[in-house]
Amino acid sequence: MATPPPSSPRRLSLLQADAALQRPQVNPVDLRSLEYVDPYDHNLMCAICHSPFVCPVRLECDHVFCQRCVNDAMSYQDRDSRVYIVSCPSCRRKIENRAIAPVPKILSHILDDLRVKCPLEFLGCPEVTARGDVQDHVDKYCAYAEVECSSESCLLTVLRKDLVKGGCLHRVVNCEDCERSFMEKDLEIHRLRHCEVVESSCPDCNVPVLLRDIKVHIERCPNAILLCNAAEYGCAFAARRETLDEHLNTCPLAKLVPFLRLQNERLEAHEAALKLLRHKNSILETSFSTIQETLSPSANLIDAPSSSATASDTGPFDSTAHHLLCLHESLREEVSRVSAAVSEVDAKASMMVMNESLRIKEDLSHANAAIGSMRMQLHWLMSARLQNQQRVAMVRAQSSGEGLTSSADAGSSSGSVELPVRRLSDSTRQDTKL
Amino acid sequence: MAQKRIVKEYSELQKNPPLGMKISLPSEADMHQWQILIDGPKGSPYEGGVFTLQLSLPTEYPFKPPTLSFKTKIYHPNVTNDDKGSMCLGMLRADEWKPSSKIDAVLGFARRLLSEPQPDDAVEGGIAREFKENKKEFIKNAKAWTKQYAKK
Ligand SMILES: [Zn+2]
Ligand SMILES: [Zn+2]
Ligand SMILES: [Zn+2]
Ligand SMILES: [Zn+2]
Ligand SMILES: [Zn+2]
Ligand SMILES: [Zn+2]
Ligand SMILES: [Zn+2]
Repeated sequence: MATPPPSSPRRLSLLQADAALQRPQVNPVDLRSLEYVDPYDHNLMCAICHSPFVCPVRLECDHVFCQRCVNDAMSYQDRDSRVYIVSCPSCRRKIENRAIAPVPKILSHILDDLRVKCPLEFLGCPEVTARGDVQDHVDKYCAYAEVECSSESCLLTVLRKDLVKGGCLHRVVNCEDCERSFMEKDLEIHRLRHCEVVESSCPDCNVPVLLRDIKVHIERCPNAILLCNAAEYGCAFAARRETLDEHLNTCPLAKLVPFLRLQNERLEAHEAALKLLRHKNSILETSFSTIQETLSPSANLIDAPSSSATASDTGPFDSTAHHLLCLHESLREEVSRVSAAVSEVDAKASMMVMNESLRIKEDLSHANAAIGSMRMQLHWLMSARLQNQQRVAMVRAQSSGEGLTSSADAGSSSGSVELPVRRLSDSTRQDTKL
Repeated sequence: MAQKRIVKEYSELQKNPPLGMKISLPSEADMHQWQILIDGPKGSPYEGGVFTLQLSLPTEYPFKPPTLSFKTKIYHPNVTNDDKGSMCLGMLRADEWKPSSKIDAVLGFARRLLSEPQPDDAVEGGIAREFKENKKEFIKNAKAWTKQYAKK
């Protein structure tokens, strides 16, 4: 939090101090830099930052992004275009309304349930927690989070796990071995990881090794006594590295190790499945018993009260079962009756459809024939008309030729035009009658 | 944020490299400059050649598109025939870029462009004309350049 400039009034700084007291999140965890333990559904991934959504929001086009990613995208677009309208980073649809819609609560819940590593893992915190709880973990529980020094006069911070050491850990002390000076809180890390003098010895070969290198040495130490690969399955063999290699070639248990591992995995999977089934079963049992309770009075009415020699415990169960069987039987009869009726109706309907379609087919063929004859007539009429037109054209050409020589002939020539028309129409009528 | 996304995309591409491509960082310290080796696609005149490309991710990535340039000379209508070898079309153009597009898609786009040049969107007009009007000559030239500049 930024400190107010010295010129600002004192009341403001008091208000800010109040706000800081109310919100204990002094170091808000950046949820976007967290490391996720399990693979997550790719639909939970923000298309902009490529990690699971943080504070997701929905745009008009129904695309979802982190609040901050959308803000970043919009500010970049603003800088470019200097227009108020921006577009969706996924589909480029214009966003008219910048008021951003919230997403369904269930999405936030799913996101909060994702398992993440503690952000202080690099300091050594092994915690894996739900993302929704990570802020709480860092604020209140993480042993590697920085807290105020227990000494009241000291303003520095220590790791929470070092608080129990008591006193101020910011006094300067010297490393016993290399004599360099450190704050007390950093001494342990120095001796374990960095000091170039402090020595330890290998438990197997008794050679002195720098403490900071001991892990690496033990992994490679030629004298280390190693257990057979199949130790967890009962082989008690332990020897130096080279002898062990020989043993591994002959040890039957070591050869079975991959198989046994697989078996173990399957066993675990089955156990998990069994647990689930048990849970389901118990739910079903309870619901069954409630059904029984609701049914048993009516079952008692139907069945004669315990004429058989059954125990009183199983009595109601038997009668209920019997009642259910009776119900089942009658329902089955009902069903068979209904199915018979249905098939009857089906047969009737298909007969009807057949008859109807036959009739329609006949009608269609009639219509086809009628259309055929009409087409013929049309054809004849058309050709007759064409011939007629040709004739008229010819006659007109003749008569106009004569008209040049004598105009008095015009009346007789117009009479000769009509004659072939009548003849032609007569002949077409005869043809259609045939 | 950009940094984290780039690291993630890089490691994903290392795990599942796209067909016929090798991706590396010329300098481990700079995640914004990638080097891509693309094999010329089968059936194209670039077959048999290996092309070096440089992918530069702007600091504004993914809000600004990456730029892609050929370090190996290539006879192609969509790649400038100068020492820059730059290409700028389709999804790489600033007005068509979407922040949700991935580098994987960019690389796929570049590879597709080797198989199917887009003469209507060309930067080298001469090569584009040849591609459209005299395909045979284009293929001959492209093959010759591939042999000369993009040998394995
Ligand atoms: Zn995001
Ligand atoms: Zn959209
Ligand atoms: Zn922690
Ligand atoms: Zn202190
Ligand atoms: Zn030391
Ligand atoms: Zn040793
Ligand atoms: Zn063994």
